[in-house]
Amino acid sequence: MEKKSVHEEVFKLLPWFTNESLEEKERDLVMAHLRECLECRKERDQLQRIEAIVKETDEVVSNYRFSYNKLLPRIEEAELARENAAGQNEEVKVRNWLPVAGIAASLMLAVGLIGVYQVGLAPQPIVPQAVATDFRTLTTQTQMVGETTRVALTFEQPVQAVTMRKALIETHSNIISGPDESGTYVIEVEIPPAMSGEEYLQSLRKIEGVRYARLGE
Amino acid sequence: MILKKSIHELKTSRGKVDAEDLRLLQRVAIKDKVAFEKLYARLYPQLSRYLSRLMRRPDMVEEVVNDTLFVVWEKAEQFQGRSKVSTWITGIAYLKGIKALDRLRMMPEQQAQSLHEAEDIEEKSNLISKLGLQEWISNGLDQISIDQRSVVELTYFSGYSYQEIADIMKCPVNTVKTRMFHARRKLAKLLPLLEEHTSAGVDIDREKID
Repeated sequence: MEKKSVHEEVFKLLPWFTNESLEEKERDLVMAHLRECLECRKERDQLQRIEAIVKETDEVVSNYRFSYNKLLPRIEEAELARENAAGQNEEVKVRNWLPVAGIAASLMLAVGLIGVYQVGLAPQPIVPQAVATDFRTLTTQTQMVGETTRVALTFEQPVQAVTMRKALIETHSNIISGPDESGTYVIEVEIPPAMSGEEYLQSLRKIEGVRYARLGE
Repeated sequence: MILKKSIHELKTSRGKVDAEDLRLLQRVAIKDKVAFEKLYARLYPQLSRYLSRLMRRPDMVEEVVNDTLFVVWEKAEQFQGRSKVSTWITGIAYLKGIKALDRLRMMPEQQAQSLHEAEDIEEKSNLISKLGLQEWISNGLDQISIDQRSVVELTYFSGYSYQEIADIMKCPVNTVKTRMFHARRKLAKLLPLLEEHTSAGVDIDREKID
């Protein structure tokens, strides 16, 4: 690199030399140049003084909680909208199948009528089963009423966030900690009374996205 | 968010702070509100300070902080891990801050105090005494453009590298360096006056002197 361009480059890098964020190679370049360039040394000193003065004026920031509480209703509204949309999607799936189911049922009934030759039997309307819309998110801590157990749940890698979320909702659990280096979460669960610990762990391992489950600490 | 990288891999290359931010963000991606509050508490001071200095509108800071973190709540799973978590979030804050000001169609430079008219050095020096150091710096920052101010803030207050600042502001690295260069030139003019008032034994009363 030409001498002039080294000087120009170092001059531009000085603010990041003073905030100590330069990579090693650039830092060495700057230090080597500073040894022989008075102008850059003066500029470095000036930048350090500006930095010190600017930091002296660090503003006091209020506690986060007041602002956070203002954001909460937006988050809860977004979660409610997400849950309602998920519930409506299930209803739409059922409604879309109604005409097909209706035609199929009518045909079967017609065959039955022809076969038995019973006049006056009216076709039964297809009544869709009630769709479960009780989607819970991790927005509120699950209230545990019985005895709880901690389980270490390891997910497949890579894993979609939506898959993990479904798994955690399915287990009706609270997250205690994680993920750790292996992608394991420690969750708190209530083991159903009818199941042993091992049976419950086996059921967890069958959930989509779960690689392994064991009793945690 | 495809959770490819292990915490260990990221911890060794980025530091413990980023590893903890990443852990919390991964939990936010699965809509863990407890983790979200922890992440909010961790980032709130940094974002508040940055946006306060960037926008020069204290009345708008809280709203923009919340707009930023609402995006984090909604889009956590889109974080790809190519930068630090705080870099990604500060980038969102920068865009939200710029958009908020655009909506108002205000140029922060127009808010500069009477300092612009103070050509005389003695008058400037008197203004320092009157306004206090904090407001003097504040007015000094008003004299540089919003993008230059963003670079200064991210460098001196937040300690980011120029590459991280380029990621945050979505501009080339050379643009970051150029903006800093111009900001330095303007701020350097203030320095001799500031030094008069910050040298040993001289205390600046930070309250306004009527």
